[in-house]
Amino acid sequence: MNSILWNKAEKTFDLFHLHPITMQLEQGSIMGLIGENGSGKTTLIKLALNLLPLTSGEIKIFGLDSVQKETEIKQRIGFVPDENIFYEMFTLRDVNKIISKLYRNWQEKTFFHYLERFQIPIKEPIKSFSMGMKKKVAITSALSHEAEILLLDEPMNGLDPVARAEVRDILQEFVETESHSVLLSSHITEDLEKISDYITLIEKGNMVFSENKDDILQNYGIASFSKMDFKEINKKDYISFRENAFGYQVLVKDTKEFLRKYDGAMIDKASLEEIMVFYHRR
Amino acid sequence: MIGLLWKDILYLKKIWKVFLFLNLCFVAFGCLSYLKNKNFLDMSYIILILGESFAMLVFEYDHNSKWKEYQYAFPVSKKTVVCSRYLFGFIIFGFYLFSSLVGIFLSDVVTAESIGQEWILTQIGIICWIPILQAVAFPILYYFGSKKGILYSDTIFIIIMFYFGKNADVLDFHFTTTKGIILLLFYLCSLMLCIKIEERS
Repeated sequence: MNSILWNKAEKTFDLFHLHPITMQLEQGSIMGLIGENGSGKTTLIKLALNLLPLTSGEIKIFGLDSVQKETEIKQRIGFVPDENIFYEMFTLRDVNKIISKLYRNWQEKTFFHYLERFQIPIKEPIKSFSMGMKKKVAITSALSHEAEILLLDEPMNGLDPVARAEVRDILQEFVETESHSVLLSSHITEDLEKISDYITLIEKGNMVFSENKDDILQNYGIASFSKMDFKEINKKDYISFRENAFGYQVLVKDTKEFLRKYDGAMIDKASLEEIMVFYHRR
Repeated sequence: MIGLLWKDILYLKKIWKVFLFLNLCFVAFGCLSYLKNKNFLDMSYIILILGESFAMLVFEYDHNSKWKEYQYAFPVSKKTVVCSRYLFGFIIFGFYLFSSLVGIFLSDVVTAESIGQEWILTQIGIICWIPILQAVAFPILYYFGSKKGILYSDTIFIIIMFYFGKNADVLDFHFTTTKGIILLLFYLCSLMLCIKIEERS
């Protein structure tokens, strides 16, 4: 069963077009959104939250229309924006007072528990916090009202490796409950490789793929060729190529199929970062 | 709605030193004015400035902190957001109305003579311009955003003040029930307009 369904969701701006996207976030799973800056990741999340109106298409969350049942749905969603939204003069006690009145199921104990876990001072104003601390506050807020879906826009930005590992653990704990799911965008593909069940790549407003992470990492590969051999490769058999001092590297979508066709080719597994970079070079 | 209102009130609490200082200035200015002119008219103009400014500043804070951009990620409707802002504006109006009445009472005690009901009603009539100015400024702020909105509404505000200054002798600020009802209707119309603007944005 899906938590969120984007059904031909499309958004047009003056200078950017998010082409119709159909994809779904499965219950009990973590989906990683990858893509370069300005590719449409944040737009996709904002559309789900109805922070931006759809140009066409529809989005269903918990099977409900994201526009008509907006406030009801948002009671069940935790959102982490890519920047701090609270007045810098506020302390976390103030934040608790404000948000506790906005959510039906606000859990004050959970809020202060996570703050303690992240070692965030509750009496200091937010303006004295580092970028990473502000992120932790946003994550804490999203986790403290019994949300069933977490939408996280660059949650790892500004976090040190220790904090990132902690956030990864928390997200994995979160999806242990079967009805919970997470959608997170991140430039740090290493984190997504560790925790995601599904990966969606968005490139210049187009969804390139939305697939199981294990399948992606198993099927995609980078084949290396000398300049001479590269000329023999059919352009249709690879996604893009890059030239380096030793010759050429190409990203292939189906390693087994490629090896069947080009017996003896040297292929390494492709990381998410490499897949993203190669797709960008198309 | 309570959460949103609470946010605006917490903002006032955070800037209480500035709030207190400006209000003390207003009291001092009012006292001097009273000693000189035997009326509170000058003092009331300052109240209007403060009453409008503190309500408008929240828009600027919302904009700067990105709250405005992301507030609808919380389970609040556009109607609720606008209503809470108007309620906040009304609380500020209530604060100044109460402060003025306390000021009048204290001046009666200090001078050992009553200022008179006429002056009290005039004072209330002038304070009622706070929600009128808010009712003009808020739709502008919702439509143009805080940056341009503050500029435009301040311009309108200065024109109104200039008009008051020129015609202070002939203007009738005297508060009546009819004027109160008109004010309330005007405030509600402005609220409806803002809800429309916000829903279309």
